[in-house]
Amino acid sequence: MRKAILILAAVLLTSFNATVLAQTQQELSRDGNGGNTDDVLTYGMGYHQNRYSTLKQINKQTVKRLVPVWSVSLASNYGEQAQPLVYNGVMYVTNAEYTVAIDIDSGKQLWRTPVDWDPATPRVVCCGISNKGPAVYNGKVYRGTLDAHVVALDQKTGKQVWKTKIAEWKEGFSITSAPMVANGVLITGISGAEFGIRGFLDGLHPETGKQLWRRYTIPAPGEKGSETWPAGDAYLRGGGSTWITGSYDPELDLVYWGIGNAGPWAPGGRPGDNLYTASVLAIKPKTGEIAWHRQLVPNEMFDLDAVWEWILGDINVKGTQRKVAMHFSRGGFLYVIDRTNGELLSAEPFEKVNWASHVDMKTGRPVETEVSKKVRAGEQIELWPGQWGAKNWAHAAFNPETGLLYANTMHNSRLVQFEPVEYKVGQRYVGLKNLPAPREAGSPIAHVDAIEPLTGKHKWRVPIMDIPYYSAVLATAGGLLFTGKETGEFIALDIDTGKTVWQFQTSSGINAQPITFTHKGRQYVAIQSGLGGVNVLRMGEQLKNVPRGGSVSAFALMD
Amino acid sequence: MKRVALATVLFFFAIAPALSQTLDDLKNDGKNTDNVLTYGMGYHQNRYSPLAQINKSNVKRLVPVWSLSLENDLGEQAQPLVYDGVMYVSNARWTVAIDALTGKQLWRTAVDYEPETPRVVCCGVSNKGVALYNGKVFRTTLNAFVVALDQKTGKEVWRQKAAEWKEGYSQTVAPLIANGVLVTGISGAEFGIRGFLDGWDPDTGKHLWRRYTTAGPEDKGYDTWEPREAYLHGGGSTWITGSYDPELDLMYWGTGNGGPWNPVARKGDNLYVASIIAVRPKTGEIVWHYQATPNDVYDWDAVWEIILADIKVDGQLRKVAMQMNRNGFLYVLDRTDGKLLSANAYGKINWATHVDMATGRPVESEQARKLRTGEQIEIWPSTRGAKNWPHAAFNPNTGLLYANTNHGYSNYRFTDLAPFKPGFRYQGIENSYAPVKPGDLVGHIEAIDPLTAQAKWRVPVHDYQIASAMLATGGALLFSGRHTGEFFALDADTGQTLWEYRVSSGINSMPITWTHKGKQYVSVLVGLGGLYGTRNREALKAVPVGGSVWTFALFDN
Repeated sequence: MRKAILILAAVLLTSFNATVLAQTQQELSRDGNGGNTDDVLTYGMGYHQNRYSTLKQINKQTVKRLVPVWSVSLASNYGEQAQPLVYNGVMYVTNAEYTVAIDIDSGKQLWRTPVDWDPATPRVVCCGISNKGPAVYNGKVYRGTLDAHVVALDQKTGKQVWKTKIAEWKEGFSITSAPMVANGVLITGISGAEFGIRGFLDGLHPETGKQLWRRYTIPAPGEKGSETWPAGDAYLRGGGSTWITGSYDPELDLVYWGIGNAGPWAPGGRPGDNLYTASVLAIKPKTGEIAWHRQLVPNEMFDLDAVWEWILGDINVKGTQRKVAMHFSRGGFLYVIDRTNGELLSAEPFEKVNWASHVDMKTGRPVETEVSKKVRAGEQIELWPGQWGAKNWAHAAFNPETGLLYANTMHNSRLVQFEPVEYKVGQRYVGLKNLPAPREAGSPIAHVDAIEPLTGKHKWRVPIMDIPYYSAVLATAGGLLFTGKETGEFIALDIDTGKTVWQFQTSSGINAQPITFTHKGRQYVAIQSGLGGVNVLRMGEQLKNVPRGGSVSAFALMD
Repeated sequence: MKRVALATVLFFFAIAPALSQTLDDLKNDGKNTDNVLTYGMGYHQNRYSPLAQINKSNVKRLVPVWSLSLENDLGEQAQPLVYDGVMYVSNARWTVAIDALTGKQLWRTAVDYEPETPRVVCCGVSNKGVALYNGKVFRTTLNAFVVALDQKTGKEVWRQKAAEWKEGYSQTVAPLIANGVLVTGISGAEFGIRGFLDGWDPDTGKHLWRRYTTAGPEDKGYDTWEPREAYLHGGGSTWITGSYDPELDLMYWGTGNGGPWNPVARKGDNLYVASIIAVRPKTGEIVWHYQATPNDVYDWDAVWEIILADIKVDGQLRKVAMQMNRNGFLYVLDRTDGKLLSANAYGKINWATHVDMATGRPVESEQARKLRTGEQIEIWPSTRGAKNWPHAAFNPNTGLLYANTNHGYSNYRFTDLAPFKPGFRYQGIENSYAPVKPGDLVGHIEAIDPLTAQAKWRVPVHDYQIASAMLATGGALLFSGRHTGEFFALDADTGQTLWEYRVSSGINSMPITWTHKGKQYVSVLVGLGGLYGTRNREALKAVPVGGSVWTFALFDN
């Protein structure tokens, strides 16, 4: 009896908390999924990472009236890649240097909390000093730090509540990914597969920051999958970072998290499939247990991360509605997987690929070509896709109404050849000579694509001739796609044709993730602007007239 | 002989249209509204544009059309210039050319200065703008160099050292082109410098003349320094660009405070500090001077904009120069000869009772006498002045000045003056500003009659003083901006706010307006910094730093 009262009290307390402190698990689950469009609570505009909004106040007809309504400097010159979140009229934004809360009504900064990291940290960061966004839950804002800590801030004040060290940055670990809250557990990924790390996911208690579990992405000797690694300690430097936030199916209670390239890139010292690099893991958020896995690239050797967004949709496959997870792989195949059990449903190329002829649907393995055989034998080859992959991290959107994926894809090649490599703690551990390949004149370097998930076929594609788009795509029921250019234009495309129907020149380059939401009945679109990320290092000359300088801007229709 | 002259003339005609920004272009700035070629939107520094496309009835439809990061966290104070569809912008770190229509950066050239230079900069690491002339972009650097860049490419053409920064000299001022001479000012009167103006050959950078603003043994006014050698550290910096009357061929530059602030080591009037000087651009000769504050002990810089206009005084149209002086008096001078026409207080003043119109000298109050005998006083205005440098605008049609003014006091006294040491502060005073509580009145936006200094209207400003210049337009609008990031438009007839837009950082600069293909644009630099922004960092902690340019136009549907 007494126990019953306690339980009742606990239930009451919980429901009370839920109303007041908010960002309950339920709200997170409903985000982008029939939830309140005033809020954007998850990375990907929904646990399904569809980056699709049902809002249509801003549509093909009205978008010409879209104008900036405010802008806030983010006081950082490193680059902006984050997706903002919105809760209860407040926007939460991150970059490598700050976490910022902004009043949606006025654009006023409410608080800004600096992120503390050793100035030497960038040495172990492969691909731009940045951050991809916060998570919000139960009155706190969570974020990763460049030096591999996770921090919880008070949502009202920005004051630090707790800070947990996830790994030692001096050993090559760093965090730029956005954390995720799934089934009450805060999950963070890690970066560093170019520095000989052993990747993992960590589950933390959101209230205290206490580690609940760690799931290494490389099995230790004796564990299931360890047979895919040679004897010895290669697994300890085997890569498999987890640098893009996973998606989550609350009904199945499974988190889908993509795993990065193997380390080092040169595969000579690690014969075998090397699980779970270049794979997707379905994980139980409470325990970190792997429910199923699917490896896209066994014995991966070209930096073919499988970390890009895993988009969850319920689509018709050969006449049957299936719960699927869809993924544009860096290697150029579009994977559709049954997300209940990992069964491969299709894997068609969506770009030019020469390292594999196709994916064998029986084994699920890519069939390597002569080109791959040559490079394994030590020759230099021209590899398609190039250094960015057939698509880079810039996330695709999925419109459940049209059943199409919308993505900024890449069209280029590179010259590669393996070279000897030696491991040194905290130093680059790659072993690949990587040179730009000569480009065919008049050939596009990238596209904006509308793609059919099961065939990989383009419904339409817009060629990009100079500088690839490096921003996520946002799709809306208004018949629009929003994305940005590294030269600073925030753009809207007609979702049916890819035609640019609107643009605004922001103050720096865009390499981030647009969102849309409502406030007092008005639809807003917001984007961070700030040149940075890995592409600046590669295309510095083309981007020399794009100044750095981070800011976030909100747009709405002129009334 | 004759043939040579003809050849020269022909040559000039040939190159004028191609290379452009001729002296005529500069003189006529404000007439071709596609260009903004001078500091102050005209040599007269009226900061007035007749453009009326954006006006009271449609300003609500004003929206940003582009913005461009200036990759600088130190603050933006400059006035952009526009020529032939290209905007030229400066801050302490960069000079930038921008396609004015699209907002695309065309080139950007880094400014090189030693990282220790800010030590000798009193009031914010910044730059107030460039000058354009004959295919070149001119600017000054924090470490006191004058630089010419190629207007097309941004490549450096020449570079001249104006002074040694380690001795306390620095430059943030925009240069002035007058009668073919490039004229620059200097900062450093808090560091015991001897102020001056320099004239340069714009083509080659050759130094043409130097006019010191503290009179030395060769100069008239030397006897206003006691002891005589005090002139060597006497201040009189020239840190705001002068105005120019091409017909009279006279530049009007204000000169800064006396140095050190504490007058113990410099008795006398101390010419030409805290003065307005009329200078011949070709030679640097001082044609006339008017000293607003003899023996200045208050930091009463007379450097604020000197606005030129032709106005009626006692029924007669007079060529005047107007200045809302830091000391709280609004001076109207005949700019042909420097004769004082009026000098009325436009703010709360307790250091002087009035200006004696017979002598032209302020009559110091009992408070001032107390200060001079060593007491601490509550001085009105504060040492920030009844107005700070944010420039006023003048609308020749209404005959009114529009300004962001200050309302506040300092607790001020003299302290022991440490011996002069090159490159270090040389002031000998103690100064603290009145504490500001949320909701406190700190200033006004006001429309002022020049001759009476009476406000036609005034709008109270709370919490944070406004430190942006005013722009007045034929659309009966005033544009200015706040430290908290609101760029706003007021009804010039009432002061009512008609429109505002929150930009990405604080505003502490100078808006301009211009046209392109018949469409009116308004542009402003954004980026918290400057003295006020730096000193009030804690109060302004919700305003992030980060420089950018914003351009606005009417939304057309």
